[in-house]
Amino acid sequence: MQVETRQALIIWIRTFGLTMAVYMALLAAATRALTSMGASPLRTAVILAPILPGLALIGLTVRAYGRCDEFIRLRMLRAAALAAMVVAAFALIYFFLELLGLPHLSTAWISNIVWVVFVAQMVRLLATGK
Amino acid sequence: MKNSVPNLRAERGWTQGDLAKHLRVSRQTINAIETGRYDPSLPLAFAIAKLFKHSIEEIFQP
Repeated sequence: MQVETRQALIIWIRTFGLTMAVYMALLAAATRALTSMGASPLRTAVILAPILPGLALIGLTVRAYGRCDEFIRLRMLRAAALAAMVVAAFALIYFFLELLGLPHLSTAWISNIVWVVFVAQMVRLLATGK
Repeated sequence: MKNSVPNLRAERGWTQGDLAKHLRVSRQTINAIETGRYDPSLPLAFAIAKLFKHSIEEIFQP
């Protein structure tokens, strides 16, 4: 892989992992604030805080897309399309499973599924080139 | 699309990495073009043709 493109993907993986760690930490804090803090501006800020790193994940990915060459961009688009289709399939299947009594899931799960499917494909591309 | 990129590259004794550097793309892009898994964009096809001093039609065949 050309240095610039490979470096762009490596930087993306690293910054993505770091930002995801920040997101998880803020998510844990927000979950705790939901049950342990009384109504206050601070509680609202803590609960909303995970939005920032969550959006940063998207920004980092868009920036990496702009730094890669055309073939890697195509692979990123393909990975995003597959992630969207996996989410569509999951949402369809789980809708009917909910009718049968499975617990209602938050829409936050959509974000989790998208990133797991997308990142897995990008890591595979970086590791094997396939 | 068939292409003669592997032959043209071999004539010059270049690796896929060397060609990638000349064209400022990833080695994976060169590999995908050479194996027919990816058809390059028009700008990249022109860059390949210019680098090898051939016309696009001479390098890429449908």
